[in-house]
Order: sequence, then C-alpha cells, then structure tokens
Amino acid sequence: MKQIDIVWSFITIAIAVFCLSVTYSFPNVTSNEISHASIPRFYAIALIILAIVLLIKTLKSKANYKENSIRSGWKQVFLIISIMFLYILLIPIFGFYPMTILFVIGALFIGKIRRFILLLTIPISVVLFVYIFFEKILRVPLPYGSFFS
Amino acid sequence: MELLLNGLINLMHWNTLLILGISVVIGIIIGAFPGLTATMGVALLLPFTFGMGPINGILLLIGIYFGGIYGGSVTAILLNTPGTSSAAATAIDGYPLAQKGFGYKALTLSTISSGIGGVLSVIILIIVAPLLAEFALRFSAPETFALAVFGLSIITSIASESLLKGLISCFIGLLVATVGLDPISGFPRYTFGNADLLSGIELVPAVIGLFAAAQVFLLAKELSNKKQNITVSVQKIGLKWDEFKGLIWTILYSTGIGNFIGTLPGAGSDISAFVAYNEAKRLSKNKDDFGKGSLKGVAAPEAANNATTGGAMVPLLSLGIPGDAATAVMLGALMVHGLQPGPNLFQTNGDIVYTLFVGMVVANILLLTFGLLGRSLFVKVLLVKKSILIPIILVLCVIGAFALGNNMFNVWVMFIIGILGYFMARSGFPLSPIVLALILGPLAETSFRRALVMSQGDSTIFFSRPISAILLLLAVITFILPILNNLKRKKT
Repeated sequence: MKQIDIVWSFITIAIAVFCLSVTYSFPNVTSNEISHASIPRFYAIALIILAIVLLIKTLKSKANYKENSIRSGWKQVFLIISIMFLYILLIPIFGFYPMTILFVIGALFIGKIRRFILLLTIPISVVLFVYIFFEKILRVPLPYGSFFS
Repeated sequence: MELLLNGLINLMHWNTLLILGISVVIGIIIGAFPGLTATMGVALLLPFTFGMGPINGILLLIGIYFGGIYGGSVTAILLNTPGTSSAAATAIDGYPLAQKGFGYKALTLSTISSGIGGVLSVIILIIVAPLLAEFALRFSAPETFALAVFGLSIITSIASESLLKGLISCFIGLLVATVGLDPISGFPRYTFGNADLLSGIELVPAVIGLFAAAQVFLLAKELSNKKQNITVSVQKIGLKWDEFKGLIWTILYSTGIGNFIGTLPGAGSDISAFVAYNEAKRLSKNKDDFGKGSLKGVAAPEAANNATTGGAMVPLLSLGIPGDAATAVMLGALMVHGLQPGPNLFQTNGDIVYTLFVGMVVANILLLTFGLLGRSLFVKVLLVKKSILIPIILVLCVIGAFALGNNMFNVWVMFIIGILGYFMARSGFPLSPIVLALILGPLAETSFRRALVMSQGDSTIFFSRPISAILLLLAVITFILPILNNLKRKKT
C-alpha cells in the first residue's frame, strides 16, 4: 500500500491544484464575501493539505505494507472494463439490445464460461427480461441506435 | 379513532388490497436494482394512477415508495451493490454478514427492521403530524446547514480504519458535488463548456458507479481463480429471538431518528440511514464489530430508512411541503387526484387521509410479509457464479444510469466513477464518504450561503440559533469521538 498511497497523494494534489487554479478563472463577485469560487477553493485546499499529510505519513511510516495487491487479477479487470467501454461507446450506434447480447457473451467468455448453451441462453434471457420489465412495464425507452433508426 | 376505523373499512376492498400488494412487490424489485430508486419507481408509475380513484392511485405510489426503500437492502446485503443510496449504510455490515454465510439472517433482520420502522413511523405520523410539521417549519438555512455538517461528521465513524483516507474520499466527493451551476449565483463551475455538466454530477449514476460498477470490477479480479468463482455457502440460519431482543432498542431509536429526519424537507432516507448507523455504533459496546458484520449495523439503517417514509409524509400532508424527492412526486399525484395537501386536508378530505394512513400501515406489513417470504429466493443469488453475475449487474448499471435522464452522458459518468471507485477501493479508500459528500455537499453549501445572506454575512447565526448550535456541537462530538477512541486503543 505504501507505493500506492504515495501515488494517490500525488494524484490528489495534482487534481486539487488543478481545481483550485480553475476557481481563479471564475469572475469575481464583489457584493458577497462567499462567492461561487469560495467553497470549491476551500475543498481544494483541504484536499491538498490532506494529501500532503498522507504523503508525509506514508514516507515516515516504517510499517511493512503488502505491496501492490492492486496488480492481482488486473488482466480480468482490464478486459471487463475494456469491453464495457466498447459496449457503452457502441450503444448509441448499434442500439442497446444487440450490444447487450454481444457484451454479455464477451463478459461470460472472459469469465471462462465456454458452454455454448449458457453463452446463448444467458444473453437472450437478460435481453428478454430487460425488454419486458423495463421497456414494457416500466416504460423506460432504451436506445435503438442510429444504425437501425 | 372513528376516522381510523372508517379508513380501515375503506381499505378492505379486494382491488385496493391487490393494488397495494402488487405495488409493494414492484417497489421491492425496483429498489433492489442498482440505479432504479424508489423515487424513479414512483415517477414512472405515476401516469398509471390517473385512471384510478384517489385512494387506489396514492396507495399504489405509497407501495412503490415503501417497497423501493426496503428493496435496496437486498442487493446491498447480498452483492454489496445497494439498490438505493439509502441502503449504502446497510451494505457496510450487511455484505460482510452475507460473506460469512449469514445472508439469510441479514435479510431477515433488514426485513423485520424495515417493517417495524415503517409501521411505527406511520403510527407516529398519525399521532404527531401537526406537531412535527410545526417543528420542521423552524428549520431554516442555518439549521439545514448544521444538519448537513452533522451528517458529514459521521465520516470519522464510517472511515475509522483509515480516517485520513476517509477524509480524502469525503473532500473528493464534496469537490465533485460543486460541478454544475452554482446554486445561488447560477455560475457554471467546472463544466468546461459541456452542457451535460450544467446540472452537475447526478447522484444516482455516481452511486451506481461507486457501489455497483466498482464492486463488479472488484469481483472481476477474482475471475482468474476458479475456486473464487463460486460465491459463498448459504446457511439458512434465521434470526434468533435472543439476537432480536438485543436489537429492539436499536430499532426503536433508529426509527425515531428516521422519522425525525424524514420530516425535514430535503433530508431523505439516505441521510437518516447513515445517522442511525453512526448512532448505533456510537452507543454500542462492541464498536469494533461494526464494518465486519454487526447485526446492529444492519438493523439501525434499515429501521431508519423505512421510518423516513412515514416522516416524509408529515410535511407533505400537513403543509404541502414534500419531505424528500419521492414525496415531491406524490405531491403532484395528490393534486391530480383533487387532494390539496396542507392544513385543511384533514378537514376537507379526512376520510381519504385516514384511509391512506391505514393503507401505509398495511403496506409496511405486506413489505414485512413479502420480504420474509422472499428471503429464500433472494439469497439464492449468492449461489450464482460471479462470471454470470458480473455481466448481468453491469447491464443493469447501464440501464439504471441511462433511465435517469434518457441520455448516455449519465452512463459515462457511472462508468468513469466506477473505475475511480475501483482503484480507490483497491487502495484502501472508503467509498461511503464520497456518497455522503455528494448527498450533503450541495445541501451544506446552499444552506450555508443562504444563512449568510439571511444574517448579512454574520457567521454567528449558526451559533445563536439553538437548534443549529446543538447540531453543530453534536457534529463536533461525532467527529472527534471516534478519533479519540482510536488514539486510546492505539495507546493500550
């Protein structure tokens, strides 16, 4: 965790400094002491201070941390996140239902499900359930995609 | 008493009871799905009520509302993916209980706590509605700010394992909550010219991302290990009477907390759940059990969040001011059905109002019944392989985020926050403080600035008003106490 905490400290400081700098581009409101920039500035400064404290605490700490458990199982996580990215990206083009079938098949494959009957029935069941419960009963319209419209 | 008896008689029609039963079941299902909130369920089904009479129509919405608040606990306990933000507090101890094989017990407890909290809150509603409404009227901007700060002070209790990381999570959430149009001046903050960001980061996609998507990504890391693909063994061990006896007091005061917070306009079941959780931990002799599967950690938030439903009806019916988002939708429904909420409602439509009161009690009893009957079914989710659960939950996350505004922007927000939540969780940062900050941040900022406008810049307004001063003092105590306890423990 030590290395990770140091990385997080720097990331947090960077984000907070960025957010703080953006507040200086907000126009000044002179009639009111507490302006639209005041509260975000307070939060950003507090974040910078907390991140610095975390950094100092981590560097000074002599405890033995379990290093880099964040890397375990990274391949499966990366694959799931990647296909989810493609799924969301392509829904507006090809529509929710076709992309959901492909996404579920892909995710099952990543999860080492290889039986053809499961690869067929699970995506179809999901899509059917979504169509009946969400689109028909709850009337939540799901995108059909520009390709098919 | 006569009005209540008449209400009971009015309720005893097969179609009314059927509508109430079906709506509670639909509410539970809606609440269980991440992203489909009770408010959304009420809003989606509102058009169905137009063709019904006022009693059937309002009771349908009440059934959805009550069932939805409870339903969130099912997935919170079983999958650590709370269906509603008010169940996020339940997940803290409910999920570890399920992981230990006590999912059945946790579901039993959440159902009983929700049922008791709901029934008692309606009884309190009937007895003290006018008094509570009058007290709620005394809440102005300084009191609302103090309440929000009190709510945020709970973070030290939730994040007691790593307070510093908890505070960082909290301030990240607070900063994210400032995105969008400034609530006072209307200036766009951190929108970078993107019109979708003008309304800020919506709470629902953020909660789905943090709890549902991030949790699924955490599950995904275990897919490489065949043994870990199976979830947990399920022991059909119910709640023992001795265990329940030890929780009665927790359920009762949590009901009081939920009911009170429900009466405050703008303060919903998510706030009451966390406040009740914190109080349960503070008053417990076994504080170390919290976060690892404490029964009180499940009972308190569940009693409180369902008790909020009764409390939220108080300002709605007595003053025409909705207590939370779901009751805001119900305000519209009442008016569509010719009922004008306010002080005169009890005089002009007393028979309908009391029928609704009795209906609310019956709705909570039905919730208790269906919840207990459905436990065995719900808990079977734990037997499903993770590799099958993962894509199903992710699809529901996409639907849940999309359904809010019918746009893909919220889906992207959910996805990005999910990835952030995954890395934060893997690095030991608690995620609950982010949710608390997203809920309370805007409330705190708006009420703080409004209070200063009221006092013309004089900040002593927060200390000169007794309710505000007391809440701020409680906030300081709530913030400091876990820190002192931690220091004491480290010394010994």
